[in-house]
Amino acid sequence: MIGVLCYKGGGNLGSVFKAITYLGYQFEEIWDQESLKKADALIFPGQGSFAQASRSLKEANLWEALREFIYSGKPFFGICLGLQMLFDYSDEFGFTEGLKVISGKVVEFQKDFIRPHLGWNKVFNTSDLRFFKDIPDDSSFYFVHSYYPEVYDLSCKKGFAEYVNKRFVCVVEKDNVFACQFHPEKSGRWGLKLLDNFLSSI
Amino acid sequence: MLSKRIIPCLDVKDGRVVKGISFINLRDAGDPVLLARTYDREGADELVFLDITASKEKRDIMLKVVQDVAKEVFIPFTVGGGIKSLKDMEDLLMAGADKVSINTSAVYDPELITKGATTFGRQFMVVAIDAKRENDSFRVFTHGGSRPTDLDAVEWAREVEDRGAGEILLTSMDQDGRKTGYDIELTKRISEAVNIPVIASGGAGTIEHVIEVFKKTRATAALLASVLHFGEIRIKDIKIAMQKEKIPVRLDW
Repeated sequence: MIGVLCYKGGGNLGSVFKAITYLGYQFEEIWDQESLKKADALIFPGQGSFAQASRSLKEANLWEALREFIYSGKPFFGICLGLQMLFDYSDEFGFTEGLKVISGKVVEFQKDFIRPHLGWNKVFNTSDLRFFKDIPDDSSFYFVHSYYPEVYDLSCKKGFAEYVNKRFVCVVEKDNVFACQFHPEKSGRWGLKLLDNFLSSI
Repeated sequence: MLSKRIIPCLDVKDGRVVKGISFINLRDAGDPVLLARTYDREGADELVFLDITASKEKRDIMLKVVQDVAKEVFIPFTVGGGIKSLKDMEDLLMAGADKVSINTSAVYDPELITKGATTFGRQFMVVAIDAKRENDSFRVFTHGGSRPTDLDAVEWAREVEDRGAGEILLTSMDQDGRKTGYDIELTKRISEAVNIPVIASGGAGTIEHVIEVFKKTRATAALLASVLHFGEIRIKDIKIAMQKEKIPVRLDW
């Protein structure tokens, strides 16, 4: 069973459901530990506030269960907040602890940049990344975010994008964990291809 | 580099697109889903649906339209028109809208911007500003441009940013429908006053107008309506021209 992690304040989760359905796969909504334990693969989407999302997950008793799921080695695909939450902590609202799966921290774009970083941007250095099969390097994906990760983990593969003069990590891949900062469910054919590559690998 | 966005705007009344696309041989030129798909294929970076349905009873039809579009079109879309409460916003979010655009209700109840941003995230909240030149400044209008307010457009733009808007959709009432170009002065002033993305709207008649607004202002997107619907200009041609002018643009749709 493919699970989609659901929580309060997760933004437009519906667009992820619709993309999965459109690609011809079944999924189940994951709202509690019991259903998470039954999942064979997990998509963790999300938009909005890091602090709010971590609060929602803790209230639903999903925080530790989520770490367990990730360390079980089952396929995991994080989107936007689902990427940011993998790191040690975020600077958003001072300091918010992350899942500590990948070493690094989440920081804000400079104040003089137009924020959020919103729209289509090219993603590069993707040829080594598992789910970018049949997607050309430098393809465009849709972003909406004001924070990005500084990644310290050396064992993690990375894809990048550039905003103003800032090159930042927007895709990470480590063992069973894959995550992107952009929204594949809103990124037209390349986004659908990326999701399809993940879903068909399960 | 972040691409500058080209956004078609579709007016929807009672679930049907009015002023439908006339340049492509569509069997049903008023079908929102068909038109959304068509613009996606033409290279639109996002879509805006403006609900101009007058009667409250028929508002739910829009939710069905949003659901249908979300099932088949995988680029972001915004819904505006008649949104008055958090409940209205939630209904649209649940139906599949990526963003809502509020205008009149933001002016009369500015708290709504903050509440929407806190509840659904800043990225969900677009504030539309309709502005008209008055001597050396610009005044904000509401109710589809029919009622003047006391608000200065630049000050109002700063306020909506402070209150949590994720984006501003800026329409020049002087230029709207004239096809003589975007209001560069207005767009420049607003986009320089805030640090959130500004979508320029009103007045596009040629490809050069789009190039001009990107070259002379900080706008990160351009909204177009009738010139696209009537096939006077095509998105692909705008984008090729932008590339020639070295304006970052998405060409791999």
